[in-house]
Amino acid sequence: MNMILQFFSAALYIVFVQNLVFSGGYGASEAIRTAARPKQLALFAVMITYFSTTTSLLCRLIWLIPVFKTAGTTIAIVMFVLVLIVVYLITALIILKMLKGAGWRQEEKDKLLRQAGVSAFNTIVLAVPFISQRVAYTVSESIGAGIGAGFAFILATLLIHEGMKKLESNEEIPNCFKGTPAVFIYIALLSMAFTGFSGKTLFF
Amino acid sequence: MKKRDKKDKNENIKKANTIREKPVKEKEQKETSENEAVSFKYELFSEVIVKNPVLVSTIGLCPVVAICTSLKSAVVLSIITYFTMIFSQIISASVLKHCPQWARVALYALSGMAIVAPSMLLLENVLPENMIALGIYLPLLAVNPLITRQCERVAVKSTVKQAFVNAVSCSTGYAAVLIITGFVRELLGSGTLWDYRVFSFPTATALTNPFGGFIVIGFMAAILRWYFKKIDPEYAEDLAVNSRSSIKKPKVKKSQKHKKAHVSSMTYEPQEYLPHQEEVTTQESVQEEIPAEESHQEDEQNLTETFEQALAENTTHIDNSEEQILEIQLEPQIKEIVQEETKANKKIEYTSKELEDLMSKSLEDIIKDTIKETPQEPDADKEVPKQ
Repeated sequence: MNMILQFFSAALYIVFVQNLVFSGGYGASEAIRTAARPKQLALFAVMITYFSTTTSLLCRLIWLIPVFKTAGTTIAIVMFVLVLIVVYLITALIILKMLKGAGWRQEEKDKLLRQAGVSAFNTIVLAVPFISQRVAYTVSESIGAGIGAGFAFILATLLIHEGMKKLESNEEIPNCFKGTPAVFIYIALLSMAFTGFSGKTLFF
Repeated sequence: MKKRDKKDKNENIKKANTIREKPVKEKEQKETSENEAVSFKYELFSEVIVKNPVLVSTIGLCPVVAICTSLKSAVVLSIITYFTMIFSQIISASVLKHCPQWARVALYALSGMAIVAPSMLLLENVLPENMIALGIYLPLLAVNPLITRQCERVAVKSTVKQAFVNAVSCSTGYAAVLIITGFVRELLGSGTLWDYRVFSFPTATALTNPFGGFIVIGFMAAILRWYFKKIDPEYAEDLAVNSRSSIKKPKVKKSQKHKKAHVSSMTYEPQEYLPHQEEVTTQESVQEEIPAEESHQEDEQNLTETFEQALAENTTHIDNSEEQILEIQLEPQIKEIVQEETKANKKIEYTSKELEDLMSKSLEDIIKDTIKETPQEPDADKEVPKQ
């Protein structure tokens, strides 16, 4: 029961209180680019969730080994990156093997693998094991944080997408701010709201 | 004696050829270096202004909004980005060309880590306070999507030299945004610059939060848009339309693309680059997606074609002017060679007696005599006086 509570609390914290995209800027560029093409959101979100959860869990488990516990921050960081690389390569090989006889076209295979690459080597994915290690999350919390990262990304992308649609139809925006500048300012406002949730001092 | 003269003559011809070849080689070298300089200028302007990774392509935002809260952090990040980018691109251009795309992505992260990890160790010893400030964002540079994108789109398709130029240009564009953001946020958010107090008025501490970073880059993007609008309103409008959403992305016909590329090549000026001429290649902004690789490959091809055409024109111009210079420089040597050849032909007409006389003379005397014998032809370059 305690583990389930820990799992949900970590996930909800990452999604709402400390939304990784808005409060930390992790994966912000990918969120903006996915918001411009929402059709890719589902696949992208699933992959981000998968990679962040797997990496976070594996890093947490490795971190339980006494040798790594005493190692410095740099060693830990190198280990996290190596774990992510191994997870990605194994996933890519599995995808290749699965698609071998599935009758997929080469272009489709390449596209899927490219998506996997972009979602795996992303700041939001690598940030989860770092945060887990810093805050000393338990195993269940690490899983919760990994899944929460995926949902935080979905929430951020959907909010940005909605904002983009509104900004697109708004003719009162000054010409110089149309497009990317307006999107940045809009994200700044959302980010301000989420920072407010975390209890930080906003002004003065 | 005869052999010796022949040998001397051959040597003279060789010398003449060397003198003739030397300026050609110099010309080629000069041409190459000029082309490289133009190419670098072009690449630099394109990556820093027209295709700025942060303000136009919205890539690599995480470090900009999260940790660029001071000038010092921004400078440290910029330096590490330079090294990481250059190293990754050189590795990609030299070693990873034959790797499958899915494996390359992992290797980019590894090469990034090869630079970031030693940098962290160095910072821990040299600037421990800065290392704490950079926190977990510094190691995240290893998986910066900007590095992955540049390696995948540029480095693996080009030579090491081209990859290096692109890495330097792109890093400069990124570093420019990092440094300006750090400068503004430190000044207005903390009232300091490089940790020295500048003013004691109430500061907007909110700017040190990530949303402050978004606000600053939002205004910077608007300033850049204003600049585009000033130099090319059409390009600015296209950028605004395309960055709003990809849902209504206008499709540019291929023929139009080529037409535009041609127009750009016709008016190419390295110092006064007009972004609109590259509109097809720079419609990246928000909807610039890695899945949309095909369209980008086309764009990049256009960009390359445009640039090559422009360079060709530029080179032709250089050719014309330099050929004239070369002709002027070579004139005495050419004349010498022609004279020597005339002498050689004349020699066949000599009788055996004359040949014996000639044998007894030195080569210099022979040349002198021949010049005396040769009637001076009217100089073709000289103007004929009007009657």
